Amino acid sequence: MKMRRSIYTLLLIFAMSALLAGCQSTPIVETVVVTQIVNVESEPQTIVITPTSEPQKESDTIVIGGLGPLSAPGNYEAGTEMLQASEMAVREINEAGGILGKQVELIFGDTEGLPERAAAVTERLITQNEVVGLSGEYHSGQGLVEYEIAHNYGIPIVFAEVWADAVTASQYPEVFRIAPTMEYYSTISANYMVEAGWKSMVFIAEDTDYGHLQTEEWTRQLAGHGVTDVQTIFADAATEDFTPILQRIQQKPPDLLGIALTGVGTGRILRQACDLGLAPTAQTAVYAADAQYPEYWENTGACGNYAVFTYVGLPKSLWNERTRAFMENFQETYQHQPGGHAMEAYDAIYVLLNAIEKAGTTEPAAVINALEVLEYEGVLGKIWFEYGSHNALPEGEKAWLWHQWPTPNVFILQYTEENQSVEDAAVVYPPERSTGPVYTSP
Amino acid sequence: MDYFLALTVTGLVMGIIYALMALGLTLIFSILKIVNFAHGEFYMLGGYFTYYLVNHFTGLHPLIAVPIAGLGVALIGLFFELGFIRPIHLDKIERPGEYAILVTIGLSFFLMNIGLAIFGPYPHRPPSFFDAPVKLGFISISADRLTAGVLSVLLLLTLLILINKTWLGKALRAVSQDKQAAAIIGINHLRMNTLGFALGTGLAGLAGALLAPSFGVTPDVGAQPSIRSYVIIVLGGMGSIPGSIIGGIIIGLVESLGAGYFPDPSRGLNYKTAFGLIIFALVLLLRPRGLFGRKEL
Amino acid sequence: MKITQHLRVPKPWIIGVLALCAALVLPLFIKSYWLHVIIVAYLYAILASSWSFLAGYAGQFSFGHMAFMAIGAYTSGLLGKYIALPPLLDILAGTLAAGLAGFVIGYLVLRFKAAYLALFTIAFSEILRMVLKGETQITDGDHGLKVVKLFGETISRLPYYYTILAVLGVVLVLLFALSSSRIGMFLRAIREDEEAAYARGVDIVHYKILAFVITSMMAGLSGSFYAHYIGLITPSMMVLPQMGLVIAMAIIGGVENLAAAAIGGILIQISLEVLRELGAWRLVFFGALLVVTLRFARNGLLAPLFQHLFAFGPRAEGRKETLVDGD
Repeated sequence: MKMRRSIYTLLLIFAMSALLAGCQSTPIVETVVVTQIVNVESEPQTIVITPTSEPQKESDTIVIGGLGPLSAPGNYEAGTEMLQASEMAVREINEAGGILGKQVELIFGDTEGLPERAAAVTERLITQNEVVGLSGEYHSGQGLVEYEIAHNYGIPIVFAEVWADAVTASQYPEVFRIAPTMEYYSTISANYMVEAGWKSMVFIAEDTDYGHLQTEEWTRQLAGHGVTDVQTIFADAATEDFTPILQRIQQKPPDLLGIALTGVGTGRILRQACDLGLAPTAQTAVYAADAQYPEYWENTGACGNYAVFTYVGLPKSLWNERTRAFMENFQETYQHQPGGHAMEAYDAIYVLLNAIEKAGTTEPAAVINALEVLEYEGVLGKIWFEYGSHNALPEGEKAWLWHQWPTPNVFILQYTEENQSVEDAAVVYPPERSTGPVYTSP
Repeated sequence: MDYFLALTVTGLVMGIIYALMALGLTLIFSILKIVNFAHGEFYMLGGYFTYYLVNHFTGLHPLIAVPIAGLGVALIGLFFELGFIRPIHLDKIERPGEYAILVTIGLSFFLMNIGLAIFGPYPHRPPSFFDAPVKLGFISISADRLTAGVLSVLLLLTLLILINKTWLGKALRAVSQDKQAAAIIGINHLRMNTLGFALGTGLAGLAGALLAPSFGVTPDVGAQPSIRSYVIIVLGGMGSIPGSIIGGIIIGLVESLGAGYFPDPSRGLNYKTAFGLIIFALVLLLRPRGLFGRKEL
Repeated sequence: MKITQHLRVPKPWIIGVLALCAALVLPLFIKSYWLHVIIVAYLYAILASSWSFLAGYAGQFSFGHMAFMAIGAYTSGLLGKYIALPPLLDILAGTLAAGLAGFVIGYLVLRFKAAYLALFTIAFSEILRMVLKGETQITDGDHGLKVVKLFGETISRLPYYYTILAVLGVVLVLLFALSSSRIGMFLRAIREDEEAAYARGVDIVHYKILAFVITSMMAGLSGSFYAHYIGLITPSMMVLPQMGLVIAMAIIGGVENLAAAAIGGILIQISLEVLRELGAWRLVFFGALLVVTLRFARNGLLAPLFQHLFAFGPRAEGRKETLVDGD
């Protein structure tokens, strides 16, 4: 009796599962590139990529690994864009004949924004999928775990959007980075803040590596400029209601309200601060580290205007041919406008694969040498790695300049109109590139 | 003083909205005698329905979408009750107490993940009800929140009238007091259960719809409100309607003032929900029946 | 069947030994990464079976299980960070700390009926999580607390595999022994009808707390092991959806059948990995499975199978007809 019940239930379940499997969200990628999403240990959602078949372990594909957050609590929006950009890069390269005459296979691992997942995924990619190189990653916290593992296994890794100084400051041979470092970026942004004339700041930062490192750097750099009225408040990135803390800040409104939160939190703070009449106002400006995600205006409404924000990449006025082509193709393929991190992911893949091509082999040591002397004209501009074993880092220079693209483009932009696209936003810093006044007040 | 008042107003407004959602939970407990552990997910669904309604029917003012969303959520609650909770009262379930807990936990697990699967991870926000901050003297509050607060008050009043003055309300109360006696005088307690559950989840959906323009919607947006609702009904007394209203206001105030006055501003925000939880644990330990609850647990 | 009759060895033992042999040689046949999946699966099996004992035998539907696991993990981790004890002592300390917490919580919830117990343990779990997350100076919060690995520099997973297999074995044997003993009987009595049990002289307080302490120590042990295996722990290990997953495993396997719960845990964990292409739908599927199982197959999906095929499990002992769920 019980037995029959169980069997019926099991059959029902199998039927349901077949049904559910049929209702998956629409596949995103064509079958030219066989891509898998690697999920380690049970945690929610991954983006579904058409799995046509298990990847063949033949020696006539070159397998590389991608890393990034594709599910909560990571910033899965950014991660998904990086995935898409990476896939686009691989697809283009394959269509042009591949690398060393072989097709490239990208296996993108979902690091979920959790350090232990990042560790497990990286190890899996290296030991299980036997990737010959890694690229990507969005969160500093993950990068800080991944670079150690890449180093342990001797696999080259090109970081696309990890800012923590320590990663290249380690001076490991395997580690390369095309993103700005925290210190590099903070110098620029702190300089800008001083230029804009702001004397008192309150930063709301996410309670992560990035949030802590960022606010520490800003505090330090601003102090160097003589600006010491700086306060930092930490919050969980998933907080819904910031109002009490904003009201607290409103007691003594600062010149600048800085937001060092990635993802949806930025929109919430902007709306809630604006609703309270705290910022942006003539007295208090808003600096949002991450204000370029597609739903930005949907989430902030009119309150998103006048926000100053960071843009890593090339603003429209400086696009080169490759940038233009990339932006158009991405928009057409994925139906939304890519952020700077997508450009970085795209270039990181190209950098890695070009190095393999130039090295003539996938053997790590050769690839690393090729990376060191590589010069690549990317959508971000001309990329090269100034210091390494090919060009020793001089005494007194910053340790993180090792295997670092020395001049990543960091721009400070400002929205001057509601619903403005990132491309049309005003460039306010660096001065030699600016397209408008240093700061437009509401 | 200004600061204190500003925090208080925010706390009050949020408290009323919390109370609406908690009232739904209390109704379910009072009529069906179970705790709905999936309450937060119905809140989430209310928010998403609003978003999709406005998106799909361009020109539909979000305020009109709210009651429709609430109705939609109530329907889902209704069907779930019929399929999975009614059997308890038909004596088809062994150890009904445990089952009730587990089945709503299962529902919560299921709904949250189906939300993720269907809606995707991107944060969305339906357009504002009214797009301007409102200034009452020195206090600023968003029109969205104020609207949500005012509507919550209206809904609460409507509900109180429903429960106390209409026949339906009396029938619901009869079932909550004594199922068998109600059956004797001809009230179909099974139908009242279904109605109660639909009403309760509908309220959660309405709360979610009302707050969607303020906070946006993500698949896990219901997690915190869920816990908050438990806190409120325990504080107010499980099954007590005035309890959940007063409890809601208290928690709203506690969260607002707590985060506002926590000595270390850099961490005050982190612990906002923790304040409520600590109150919750203390109430359970020291005075389990809460402020207005009945004596038995 | 005939063989066992001749040998006079109970069937369950044969099955158990066969399963053990299979588990022992498993690493020879699977790649390193899948070994990792199985190790984590064993961890879930410990959690699912110990929770199943607490809920199914003692009737305490606690949502604090992952909190006890986190207490084990963070005690180990913090001791390692501040005092640098050898990992084995860390693990011992973590287990004991979890047991202590289990004692306190068990004591606090003595009078609570089912719903209140659930709510209180949810609150306990969430408060702990917020503290662990908020006090980043001490716990490194979401950045992750680095923990020394149990087997130091070894890259191979084999020692971890055999260790956790041993732990799982010990846990299951212990739980079985308990459930078939007087303690198990008293706990069942308490679950069925607390007042009647009390009237018959069963020391309710003693046994309820005992159930909490034992199962929380098991959860803590798995947490400590996890910390020393992965090397990095964050408060995300104890989010409520994780608790939901463990409950799903126990229920789908079979809440009153410890082996079924454990195996349910292993199978579900492996399925989640195998079905990763379904993405978010994997958990939707298991959520649906959970709800449907609760409604139509209250004793789980695996348990009746086991009972039928192997006459396995204490409930089947001596009683071929199960008495529940009057159809």
